[in-house]
Amino acid sequence: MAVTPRFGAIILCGGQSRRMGFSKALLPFGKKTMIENAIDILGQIASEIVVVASPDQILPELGSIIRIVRDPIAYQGPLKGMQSGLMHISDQIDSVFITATDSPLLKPELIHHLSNQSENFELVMPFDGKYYYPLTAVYKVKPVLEKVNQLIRDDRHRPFFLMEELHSKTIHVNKIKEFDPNLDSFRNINTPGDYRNILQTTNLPIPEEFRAPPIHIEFYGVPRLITKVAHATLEAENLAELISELSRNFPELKGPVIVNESLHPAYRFMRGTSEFLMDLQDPLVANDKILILAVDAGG
Amino acid sequence: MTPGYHGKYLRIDLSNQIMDLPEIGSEIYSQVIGGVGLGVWILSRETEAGYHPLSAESALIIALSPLVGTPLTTSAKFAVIAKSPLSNRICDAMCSSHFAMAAKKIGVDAICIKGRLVEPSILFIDGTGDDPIRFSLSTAAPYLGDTAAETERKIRVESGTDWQIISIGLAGEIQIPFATLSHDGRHAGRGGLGAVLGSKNIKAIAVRGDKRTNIANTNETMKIARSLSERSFTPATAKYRELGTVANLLVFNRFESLPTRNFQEGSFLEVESLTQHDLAPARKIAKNSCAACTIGCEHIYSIKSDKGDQPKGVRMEYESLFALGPLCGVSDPEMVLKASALCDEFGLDTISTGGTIAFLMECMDKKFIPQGLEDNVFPKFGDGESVIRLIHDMMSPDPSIIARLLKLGSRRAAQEIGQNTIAFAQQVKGLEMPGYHPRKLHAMALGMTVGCRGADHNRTGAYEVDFREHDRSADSVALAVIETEDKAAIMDSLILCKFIRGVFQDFFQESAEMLSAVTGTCYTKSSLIESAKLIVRMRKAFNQREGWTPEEDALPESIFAQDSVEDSYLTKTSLEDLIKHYNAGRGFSDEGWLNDTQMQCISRLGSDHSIE
Ligand code: SF4
Repeated sequence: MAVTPRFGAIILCGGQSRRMGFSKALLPFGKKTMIENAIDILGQIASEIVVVASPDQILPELGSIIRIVRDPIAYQGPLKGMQSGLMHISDQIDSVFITATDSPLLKPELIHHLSNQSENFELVMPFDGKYYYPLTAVYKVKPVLEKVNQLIRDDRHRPFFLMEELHSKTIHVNKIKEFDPNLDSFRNINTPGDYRNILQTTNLPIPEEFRAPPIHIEFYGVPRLITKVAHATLEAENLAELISELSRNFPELKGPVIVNESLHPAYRFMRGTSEFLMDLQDPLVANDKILILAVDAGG
Repeated sequence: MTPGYHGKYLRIDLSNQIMDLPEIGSEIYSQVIGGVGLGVWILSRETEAGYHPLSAESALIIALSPLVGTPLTTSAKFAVIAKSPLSNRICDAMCSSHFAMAAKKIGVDAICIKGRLVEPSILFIDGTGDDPIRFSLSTAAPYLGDTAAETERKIRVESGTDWQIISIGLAGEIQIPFATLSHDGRHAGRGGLGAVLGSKNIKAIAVRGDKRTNIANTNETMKIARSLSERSFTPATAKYRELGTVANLLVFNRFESLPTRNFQEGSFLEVESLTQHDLAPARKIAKNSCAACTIGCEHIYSIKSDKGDQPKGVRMEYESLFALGPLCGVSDPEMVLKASALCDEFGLDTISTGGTIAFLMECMDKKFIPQGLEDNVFPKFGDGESVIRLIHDMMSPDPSIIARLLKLGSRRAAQEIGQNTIAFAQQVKGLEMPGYHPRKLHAMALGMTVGCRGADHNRTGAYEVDFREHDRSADSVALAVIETEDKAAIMDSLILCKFIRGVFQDFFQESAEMLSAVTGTCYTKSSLIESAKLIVRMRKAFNQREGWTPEEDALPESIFAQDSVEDSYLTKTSLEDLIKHYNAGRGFSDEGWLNDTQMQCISRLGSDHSIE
């Protein structure tokens, strides 16, 4: 994909990474960090890239062509970040793609597609029928900066206010599926579970310090018949992640036992033989013994 | 007549060889429904307090239900009700398939057999054509000693395949108090109903007919039937379809609830050697199902034949597997299959057979029975051969002393042996405990203790409470157990197979809709819950009439936790507390007696309706 003149990119990487507990920009992604990975993707299409970081944020060596801008105060939200980015993009850039660092599977085709439609709009943004994606969107530099400045002056910091103000076009995700069938571009990393999940789908190794605790899962009855094993050790920090690990390792469970990323109502999880686990977010502890039990276990 | 019903039952007095057709009022049907409910009602009216279960005064009821003959899946069932020779209390057992449909086509909703014949006979009941219902008798001499399956086969060869037959095996003929009554390879297994039929000198009952009942709302019934069939293919019934009940073995073992070596332990070290039945398709040779069932839970396993001819198939259920396997310490699957096939052939309840043998094994182990005396049949934990030898011995004309004890069932055997061996005779009210070690399953412990039939896993679903998240306070457990009993009372009166229970969102509501559609009578969720409670109380009232005392609602002493064991183990005090809450929840007295209002309700039921 060719670099587009007068088209730039802004990466907002100064977020708090609270749920991740680790700077998302520095997360390893294969041989690179997430920020380096984002730059590699954007570099295929943007002629200029500005990285907006928080004041003391540690960043890897990004090369001289990348401009790094520091927010004066940390964690002021995306609007402030956009303001810094837009202020520092050079004059010859008309429009920019704005993103965070946490969507490592972003497709250059998506950026291209959005920018192709941006001529008469201040904002071109994906929409999935329910949600808008302002941090995977193309903005016109000048008019947007003006409106951002105004909103900040008015102390109206929510990105939603900006969306309201701009002359915008939305692109339905169904259109995007033509070149990104699984909508991987929108998969972002908020938790260690998301991170592991993305690494696994891309067959990249999970760094030791990010591995989930090992969980011993026991199969009885139909699940055992289907998987042909009595037990397995999987890594998961909660049931939700355990379910996705089960689906990945034993795809044959999908349908009869796992439905819609949840356990079929005919089954339930137990920790050992006395504790029923109900909440998919309840933490699991290393070496937990988790049973998948049929509801009619006793009959 | 109310759609779904014929409005009468057939009463045959064998001693005088007469029959009549007492009517049943619609107000009775709307309260007791059919199946177990109807059967208990008839039994209570047809017998006098204190009768001997194997006497001419006893009655055996075969009760049908409004759903039999409809397209509702798993509805081809009948209930058999009598006083049990093993427990001297109510016994109601379910059986299924074509007999249910044929019996209903005679043109009655139940058959009540009283009196006794002089010679072993086959009873034919014919409801075909325009002639009134009639019965005839023929000698059973050519079939004596035959298995139930063989008897059925022969009668149909000789008399025609339009006959459907229930029969007893040798165990029923010689009135072993845990003899089964069978149809098409399925057994009304528990409590010795086969002995009751045997005591009447009936080897088999053959029925045929052509009378159909109406369905009040055909469209609605079809709609419900379709939905139920569709749901019967979902994961909610997968366990039964794919594996059958033997899938319980490993789960129970994991929960330390697999009764092992006469309930001395709750898990079996060698369990894996038996699980090949669970998961090795190689041994599984066929799958089968009852008539009108879309689930098909019967899994047939191959068994090596002794005589070198074709290997046989044997149906295997968890209850047979546990009772003839871990309960006796037997880990050789071939032995367990053989013992199970043998029980089927003789017509013996596998749970009571395995349970009593395991009891005798523990007696031997603990030297309550002198060794040496019985060297030839010495039953020993883990020795599958000895299980098989003992079953053969029990059926022989001249059984050994041990086999004579086995023939009594564990409670009476313990009474004979004395020395407080009753403490580890694993039964309640004389009925051997099914494959649920109650030590950790407190709800099930309560369910088995208060069960009118004795230690029972069918007229209660109390184990469901243990296998789901539940409030463990005595009050909540008791109420949850009551609910499972109420549900079972309706399932067994509708009758639907309990294996379909997982597909219902709201069981009572959906059952009410089903019954309303078939019968045209307006049932509601709450009216059905009332019926359930009435049916449970009627069973209890029968037991009270037959001499029930509060002391019967107890588990054997050996079940309870000794000192220094886990907190989760059941203690005598905690069980007593559960019983107290159960009695309160049922509106019984503290000790468990029905209150006056409850008694009056039951005795009023149908009293304005002459059945004499
Ligand atoms: S589920 Fe099994 S027992 Fe129940 S009706 Fe079907 S085949 Fe018969």
